Amino acid sequence: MKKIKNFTIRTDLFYATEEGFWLDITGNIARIGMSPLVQETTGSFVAVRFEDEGARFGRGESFGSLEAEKHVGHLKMPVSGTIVAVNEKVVENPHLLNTDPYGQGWLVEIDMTGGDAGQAHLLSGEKEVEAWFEAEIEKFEDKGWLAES
Amino acid sequence: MKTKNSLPWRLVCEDNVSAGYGLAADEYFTSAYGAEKTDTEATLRLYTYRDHCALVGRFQHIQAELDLEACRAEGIQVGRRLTGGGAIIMGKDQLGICLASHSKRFEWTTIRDLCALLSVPVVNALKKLGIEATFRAKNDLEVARKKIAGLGVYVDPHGAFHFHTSLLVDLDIPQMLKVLQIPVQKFSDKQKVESVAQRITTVSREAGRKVEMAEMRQLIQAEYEAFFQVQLQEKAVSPEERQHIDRITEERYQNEEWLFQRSPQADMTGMSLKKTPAGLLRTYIGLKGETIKSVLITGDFLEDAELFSQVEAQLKWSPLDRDAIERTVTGIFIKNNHPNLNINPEDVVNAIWLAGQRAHAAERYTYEGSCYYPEEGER
Repeated sequence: MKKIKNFTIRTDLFYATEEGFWLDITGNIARIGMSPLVQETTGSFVAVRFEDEGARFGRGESFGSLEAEKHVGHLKMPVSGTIVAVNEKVVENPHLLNTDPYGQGWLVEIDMTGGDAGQAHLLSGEKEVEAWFEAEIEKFEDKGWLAES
Repeated sequence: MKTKNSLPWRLVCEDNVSAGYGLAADEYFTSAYGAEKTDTEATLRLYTYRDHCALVGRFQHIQAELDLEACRAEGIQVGRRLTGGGAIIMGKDQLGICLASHSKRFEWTTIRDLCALLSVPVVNALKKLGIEATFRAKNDLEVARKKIAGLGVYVDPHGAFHFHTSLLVDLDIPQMLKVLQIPVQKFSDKQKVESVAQRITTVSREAGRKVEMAEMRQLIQAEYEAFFQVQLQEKAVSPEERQHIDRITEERYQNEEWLFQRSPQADMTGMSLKKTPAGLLRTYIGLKGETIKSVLITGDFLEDAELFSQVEAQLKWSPLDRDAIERTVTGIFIKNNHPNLNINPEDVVNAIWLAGQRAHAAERYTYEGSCYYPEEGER
């Protein structure tokens, strides 16, 4: 865990920087969740839905949708895989995405077996993750979308 | 403000559309940008629904939000939007403003950012009528703390989006109350109308005259052209486009699975009555799972209290969490320099929390039943 400004970020995980997701990878299984910055800049989540377990998606395909502050958008798969578990707790209580993004607010678990081996785009490494996160914070601060620390 | 390319913008004007067609056309234009099958930078659709259509938000529970029996009796069509937010009634006096395009064509960082940018022309159009509208929490436009328009954004998997504004040019409040379930069912009809009129306003009311839809439409068009430095080219929906829209209408918006889909979160309502030095504080709350979807704070002494309107707006779509409620209420009292209402913030927090707890413990909504409202005498 690393404290960067007002955020606590895990630097031991992989990050899909385009989608703002973290991936906790063990073997071929990846647990996916949202980075704390995404939840902060998106607002209070009121609904989240996932596609069914067993469904397979390519990178960039929608595996669910969510609502925050009357914005409805899709959750795009950061790597190819088959959904093996969805977090029912977060479906029942979407605020977990805001309050516990690394813990109870995880989204889905996927099996990456047979995928397109497209993981090279994922960011990892303590220094790399830190640098990316700091740059992201700066970007949002410049726009005035983050509270002053 | 200019978009990234210099392609022309398209204008589509329609009236008296059905619930299904109205929603399907918004989706059709959005998907065209997602598929990059369009030679225009954006499409601005200015349209009205037939009198009347009741539309719920993307993830709402339709039976909990609408009195479907009343809708049938009144001939009101129902629909489920792609955008989020609460249930609304649309008809000839409410202008639907839908801007469809691709997110990569605009300079933005967050969805809030995009929403703020795209609503500037609406705010400017209202200004031309002498109406000062501002953003309110959770994407509404308000005038003196009263909602005048609801905003919503849908982004498809390809990055195409539509930004929708439902602008209340006029509003038949009694008609709205016939079909929308609001958590004040114990109120008399007059009280209900007053309660809504305290929280919602219209363009005509603020302008002090009847504003015609044609005038409103022209103003919106002109302000979009001025702000984005484009000339809108009006082009009606072609027969081929109509076919696509009709197919989407049939496949999605008239499909009962879409309309009546179940929400994983239960809808519940509750209320509390609390004696304060200023009088009786009556608080109603509507929950969706652990989320507050609406709060109404009433009491004879509160009629002009802007502070409570701020509390209601700020708590909408926020978590049912005592600390969060306390932070919101205390913050608003501080911001308003602790107005002398003979009510302290703790009383308000306790009233909201109690209503929330009662809602949470209440019977959950089922298809067979209706929303649960505690008896008025219950304390």
